[in-house]
Amino acid sequence: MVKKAFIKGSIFIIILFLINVTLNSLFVIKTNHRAKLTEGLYTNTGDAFDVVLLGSSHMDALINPNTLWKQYGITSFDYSTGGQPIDVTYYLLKEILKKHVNPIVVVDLYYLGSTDKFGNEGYIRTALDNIKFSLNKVDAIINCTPKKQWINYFFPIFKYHDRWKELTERDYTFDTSEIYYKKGFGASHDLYGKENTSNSSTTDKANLPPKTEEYLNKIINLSKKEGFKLIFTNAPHDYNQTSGSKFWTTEPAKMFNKVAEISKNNNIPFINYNKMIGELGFNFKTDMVNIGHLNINGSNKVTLNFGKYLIENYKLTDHRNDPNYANWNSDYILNSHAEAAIDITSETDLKKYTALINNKDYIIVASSNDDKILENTALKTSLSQFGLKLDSKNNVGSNYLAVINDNKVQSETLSNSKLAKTFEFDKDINLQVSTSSDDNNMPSLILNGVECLNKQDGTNIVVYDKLLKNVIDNIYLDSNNTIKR
Amino acid sequence: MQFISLSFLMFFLIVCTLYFVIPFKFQCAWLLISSYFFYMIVNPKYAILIATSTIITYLSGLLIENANKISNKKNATRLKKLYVFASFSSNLGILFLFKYYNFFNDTLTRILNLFSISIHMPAFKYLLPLGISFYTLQSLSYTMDVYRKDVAAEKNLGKYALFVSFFPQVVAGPIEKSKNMLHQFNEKHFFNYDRVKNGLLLILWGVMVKIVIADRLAILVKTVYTNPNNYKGFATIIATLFFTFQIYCDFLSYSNIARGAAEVLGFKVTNNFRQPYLSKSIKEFWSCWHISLTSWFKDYVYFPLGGNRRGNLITYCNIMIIFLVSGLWHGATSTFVIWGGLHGLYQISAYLLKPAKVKIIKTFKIKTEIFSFKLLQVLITFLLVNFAWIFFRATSFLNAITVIKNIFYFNPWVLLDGSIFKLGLDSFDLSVAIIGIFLVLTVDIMGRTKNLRIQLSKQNIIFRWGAYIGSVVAILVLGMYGPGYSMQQFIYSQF
Repeated sequence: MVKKAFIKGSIFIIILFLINVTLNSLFVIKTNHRAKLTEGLYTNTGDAFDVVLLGSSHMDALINPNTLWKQYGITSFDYSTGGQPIDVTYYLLKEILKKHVNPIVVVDLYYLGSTDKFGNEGYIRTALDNIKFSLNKVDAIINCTPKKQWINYFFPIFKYHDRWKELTERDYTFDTSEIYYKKGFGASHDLYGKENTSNSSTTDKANLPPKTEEYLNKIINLSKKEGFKLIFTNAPHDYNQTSGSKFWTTEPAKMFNKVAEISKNNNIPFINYNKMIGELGFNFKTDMVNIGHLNINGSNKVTLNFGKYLIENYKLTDHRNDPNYANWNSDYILNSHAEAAIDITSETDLKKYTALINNKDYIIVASSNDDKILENTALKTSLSQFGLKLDSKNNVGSNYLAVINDNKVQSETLSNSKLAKTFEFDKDINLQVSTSSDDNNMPSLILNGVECLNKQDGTNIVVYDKLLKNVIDNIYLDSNNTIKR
Repeated sequence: MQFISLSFLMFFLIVCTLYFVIPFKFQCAWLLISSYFFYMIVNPKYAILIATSTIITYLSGLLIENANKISNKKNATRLKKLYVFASFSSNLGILFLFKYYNFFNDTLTRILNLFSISIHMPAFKYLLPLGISFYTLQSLSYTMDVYRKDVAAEKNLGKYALFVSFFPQVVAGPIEKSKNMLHQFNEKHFFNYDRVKNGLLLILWGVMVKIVIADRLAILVKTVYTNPNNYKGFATIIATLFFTFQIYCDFLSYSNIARGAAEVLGFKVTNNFRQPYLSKSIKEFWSCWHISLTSWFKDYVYFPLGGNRRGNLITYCNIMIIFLVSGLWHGATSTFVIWGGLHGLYQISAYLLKPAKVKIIKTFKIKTEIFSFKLLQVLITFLLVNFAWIFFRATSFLNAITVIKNIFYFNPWVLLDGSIFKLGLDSFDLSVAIIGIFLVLTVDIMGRTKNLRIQLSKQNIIFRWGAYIGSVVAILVLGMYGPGYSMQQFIYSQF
């Protein structure tokens, strides 16, 4: 009887455990951080990285792995997550080392300034909720989170179960592989527009908060024990980012001088980019997105400098011509497309916009049910860049439909009556375009069964990227020909 | 230690494992240690009170039994009554001090103030010890049972202490009479798969009813009843209806977990509920609601007062006394007393109106054995019970009056314009709450004629395991627990 109970009880517990694992995965909030950790830790473990990048959001936008690849043939991956405390970084590093053998480990040390006993729960979860159950995760939970919260970290469903009413398709079908080409990197294209208000030139030193110093030493000791090469960085940022915070060191500039001393004593390079502003040609107004984070311009400057530093100081093989690394070249192109899409989606000037979308990898669909389209000179001029003529032979009608593919006009029609056409570009792309949909007479564009238009009256333009395999932009024009989304 | 907590789960697992592993002679000692640990983890100091109550009633039992040996019957009876009086007065004295002294003090001061007499009595500032209302009645049942020779005095203090402090029931019952429970501590309890499974099922159902349904209903109820002036009409009606089910689900949950935990260990504990909201009269309701308390009052107060054997007037007085005491037992506030009084009035009215009712039925040839008539009876009973709960839930008499006034405001649009979703539960949570109520009612209706656990055990494995696992998933996903929620205490554990 006891045996029967034991067997049945064990089966029941195993089933519950499996359900719990599934529920955890379903209910955890799906962020880019989850995607990058999944890709970097579990999905692409066969893809050897020369360099791994760790830290908080400062690192997220500091070194661009795709630029490192393009310029120097170095493979790297960015494991940083927003607000990642240094103790979490330590355990995440141990987890990374289980998958990737002997990479050069680069850690941004911004979070050494934290004086809080435990980091912000949301930030800790950004990292820990996305790491699979392992001894390192257990250690991380025990050492990086308050005891009362342990159970909620071990079983994230306890924390997130209330999301049952807000679950979306994304939660069920979250595909992390789509962003692997970014290699964990993420920088804004916006400009800060302000100068650095802090002084980083001091040579004085200040002690590190005890807990972060403990973990800095743990990382150093781990590098000695495991034999991997370690590089510390401090990303350019305005030290006033944390001024007034109760949970941050009051003297970050002096603290980083102390870090430099510790690093020197341990023969570990510490690249304090905040002291290399001149050398980098760094401009806070145009190279930062806000007080603490680099934008894409700033990242390019730092990455080029860092890549140069790597090839000068470490024996790294240039993999660019190695066929085994062919996917890095294709990923680079994908990333370039993704970066270009960011510029496209932030452009509001029609003339500049049409220049940006003039790309053979895009399918462009323009449709209108506005009878004034033929009188819109600015629009006609812009569209003429693609060879469109707005049907000059028979220029009457209010329904206009044009499709451009491979920089060629695939179709262009103007009619007084509703236009509806279907295009098959290859087996993956099926477009059903209509100038007046069945439901509310608005233009409609159905891509592979999914409506893509905002359904605004007037002229609509949709840009589909054939490499990224998604609609990257979807605009309509207001009466002033300003782009609206 | 809250029943619904991981610490209780661990505690229970350890207690059960060791209980079935150790030799029989140590089982009671182990349960006693576990029970005191369970009780003391909240506040160790209050263990002194439960121990005091235990020793007093234990000694009363021995002394009463010794008095039985006195050859002079008159002296023996006098002595036994003295011991019963001593046991009752000391136990009820402790209960009075902790639970009623401040209420009494306050009431007396107010009354004397009416006659311009000013007195100042110091307030008693200690918190109400956990479960004192329950274990006091349970231990007093022993004194009475020995006095009535329903049980022999227990010689083993450890076993008796376990009877008073048995962890599944010490905090909020069911209040067991010694004649039902004490002998079970002498029985051998082996591990029995079906019994353990059934006990665990009861616990699972209890947990689900509490954290998926009761605690969800509690949110809307709290919103309205905390500020009754701000809500009118259907908002107040829904809150009152929800409280009716909240308190049922809450207490049903506690009782089921207690019964389930006891069953796992091999003990049979009284079922406190028998589909109370399907009752066709207030009298029937009280035979189905908090059965262990009703039974206690009936056995140890109502019958000693004469019950219904001394004429109608005395019967009505006895009924009213029972319900006023029952109200007061729930809490030392006027609202509880009114709640009890209302139920007393309901019952007395039912007796008084019975001839008229019979005449009406006869005159109009109303069929009474048909579904529609029974349904009407159930609905009327439910409404009366529901009305009385207003006083039970309201934080003061004036708030209860405000709630009653606000019920009579016709605003059906709040059901359609989204206002109803601004009472703390959005449309999703409200749907779960309503589905939960229907689930509990369905289980109640099905449970009238069938033992659902036996019925479930007859089903195929996929259905059975689907039900078990579905329940756990429902608890995990829909439960009102975890960060962002403050776990609601069981309502009756506060009495």
